[in-house]
Amino acid sequence: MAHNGHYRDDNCVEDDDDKTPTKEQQQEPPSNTEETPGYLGSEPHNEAATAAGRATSDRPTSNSTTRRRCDSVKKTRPPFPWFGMDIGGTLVKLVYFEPKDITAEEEQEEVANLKSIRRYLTSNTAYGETGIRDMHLELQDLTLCGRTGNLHFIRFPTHDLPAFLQMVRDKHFSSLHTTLCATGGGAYKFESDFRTMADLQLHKLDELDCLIRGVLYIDSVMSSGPSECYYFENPTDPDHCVQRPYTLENPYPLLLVNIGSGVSILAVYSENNYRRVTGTSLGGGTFLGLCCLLTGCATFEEALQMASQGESTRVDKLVRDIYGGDYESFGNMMSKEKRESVSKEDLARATLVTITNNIGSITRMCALNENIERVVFVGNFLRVNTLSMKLLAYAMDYWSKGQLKALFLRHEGYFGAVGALLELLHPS
Amino acid sequence: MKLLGEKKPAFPWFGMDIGGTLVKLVYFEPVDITAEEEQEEVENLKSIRRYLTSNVAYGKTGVRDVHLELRNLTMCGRTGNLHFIRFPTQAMPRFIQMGRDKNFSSLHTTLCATGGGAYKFENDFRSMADLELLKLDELDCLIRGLLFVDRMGFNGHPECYYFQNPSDTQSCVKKPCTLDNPFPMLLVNIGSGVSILAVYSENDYKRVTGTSLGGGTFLGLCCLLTGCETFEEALEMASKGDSTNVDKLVKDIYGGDYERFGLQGSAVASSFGHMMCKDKRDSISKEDLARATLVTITNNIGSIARMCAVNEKIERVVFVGNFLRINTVSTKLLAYAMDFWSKGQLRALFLEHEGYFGAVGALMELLKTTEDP
Repeated sequence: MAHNGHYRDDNCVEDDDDKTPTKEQQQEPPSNTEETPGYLGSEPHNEAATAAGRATSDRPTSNSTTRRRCDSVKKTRPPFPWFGMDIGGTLVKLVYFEPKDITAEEEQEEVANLKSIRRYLTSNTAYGETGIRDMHLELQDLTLCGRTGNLHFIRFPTHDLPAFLQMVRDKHFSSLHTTLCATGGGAYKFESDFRTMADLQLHKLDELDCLIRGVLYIDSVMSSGPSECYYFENPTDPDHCVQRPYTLENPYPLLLVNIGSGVSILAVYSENNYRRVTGTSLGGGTFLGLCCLLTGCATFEEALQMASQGESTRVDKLVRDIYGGDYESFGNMMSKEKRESVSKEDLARATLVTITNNIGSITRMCALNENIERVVFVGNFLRVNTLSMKLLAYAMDYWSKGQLKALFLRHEGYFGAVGALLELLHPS
Repeated sequence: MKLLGEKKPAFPWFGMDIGGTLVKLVYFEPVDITAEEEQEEVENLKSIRRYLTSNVAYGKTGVRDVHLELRNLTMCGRTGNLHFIRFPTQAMPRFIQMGRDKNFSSLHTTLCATGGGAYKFENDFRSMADLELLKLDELDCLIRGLLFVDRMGFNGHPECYYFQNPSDTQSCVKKPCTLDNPFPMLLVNIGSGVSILAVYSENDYKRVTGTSLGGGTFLGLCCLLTGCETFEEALEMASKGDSTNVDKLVKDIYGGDYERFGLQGSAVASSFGHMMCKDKRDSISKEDLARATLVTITNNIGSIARMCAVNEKIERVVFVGNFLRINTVSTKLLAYAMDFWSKGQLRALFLEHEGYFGAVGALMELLKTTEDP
């Protein structure tokens, strides 16, 4: 893996050289250690690996009779298509690698449905009613496992997974005999649906393992586009608050705060050494759920739109209002007249501020406890949500008197999916 | 501001804590009044005493918590009963009005007050009732009051209690205890907002953190979501609701437990997480919403308290504040959370006089008394 941010070629051989032998040897069989004990029943990777013809015996690994890789000496990549999937509580995140170096010969041999999948994904930016490809996040001219291509970032609500499975079935995805690496809770919850509805075996991966792997990889990729990592300068000053790039060289230790439906906070000491410090159930799902209830909005975008126009101080009891006692959220709402005087926008704003500040507060305590100064916030709660990002930047800076720095990553909620894709290409 | 030498302060003796939502008032009713003293007692002082002790409700919203009365207490050399009265901070103007009508200022007594309202209403007291407040720090008063009441005991019974087997609804039982050797302790004050203090000795403490999601949030959100009007109504609804229809649990996302990190399927992954879905919104009740609000706020506090306890390396966590008044759901939830998430390392303790310690501490400042033998 990269150490200096100039990593471009995710070639299998180089990768082996970088990995420490002990890591290879101690994971026997490797993928099992990444899955939760309760789900060891299935051994999808065995079948999938054989079918994919993956062989990595050029790695310095120790032997095992339960090895899933076959013995061929030649290095073989998994067959296309290459996907990584993260099935979360609210959203499914999909990353797709579109090869651009297809030779004429290869194109000739390409099966129809594979071609169709490639065309469908790359010539649309919207899929069905709710699927979206985040074009602005596309990584172009990436080299993965010896192939060059573009990495696409697609999302759709978990609620619409059945429609997705239907499509997968209709496109005869299972006939491609490819492994579908999936992480997130849904990889477990919907495992049997994938099997029965689309005849697909998922290779299930732990979401936090994938998250970290994905974060470290994406940050290391050199692209001509904007820097992946950034922070806010002068977060407390709206007129001078500006985004600035940041390199995550020597990133350890870092506190990784993943704000999805719920929140997980991880202390990361090295690529393979991390700990889930804590979490909170007041996350993005809470913001959206409460907003829907309080304002009648239906989507995350609507909720944010309202919040951007509201004024939370009418809703909250300000420090000024009590004196200097504790500022409390929604405190003014006990009074009927006050309730009637606030708008939906104010409520949306107050909800956003409350949830965000709570996360900020908990994060700060963790950073203090773990003695870590760098905090990286990821997760789709922050998607198109500059308000929360600035609040978090402000909170970290202000309450720590400048000791803590809040960092953000452009690919926000996609790291789990990227990590899953990496597992497909470079099984650990 | 210092009180004169050996002289006791003049009656009446009050301690006041003006919070964001409630005003807490403690009143010392002397029962050892001699015939002579009674003769000399000025009219309005007598009237105040009678008004307070012969009623349990005042105006439309004032309440005297009779069950909390501390009887035959000795303070500053006098014997009497300590009364605990509360009313909404919103009714403060009327209270000040009453103070004026009863000519309180002519009694030349000091009115010791703590809480944010002591600052917010200072001018009103002066201009409307010609009263000067002696403003005191709320956390100083809180700790002082708490230690005092625990030492005095609750009419011969312990003030402090905990829950045995908090994780087992069937055998979960309230047990008394005392705060002997109370230090260090983590004190979590859940009023409108929340303050968390690490207390090392009576005079050595620090405010570790706070959260804006407190009792005020619970009530405010409940009012918005269910149309209820009072704390009692909100709790009533919450006691009948099921929050799992509103919250997204780990099993809703994983289909079961998330074993890798020890998260049971029944744990909440995303509070109110189901509410982004219209079908779910249409199928839940107001009671479910009230319950979810209560559970969310309570669990958040518990989680933060636990992190502080771990940070500060303190095993005893004492929860006070009027959010816990008549709120067994939250009390048990906190007991459970502390026990479960710490694998039995942390213990949650509670006190019967919940939200009144600040006011008691203010009274003590008036009397400048520590413990009476």
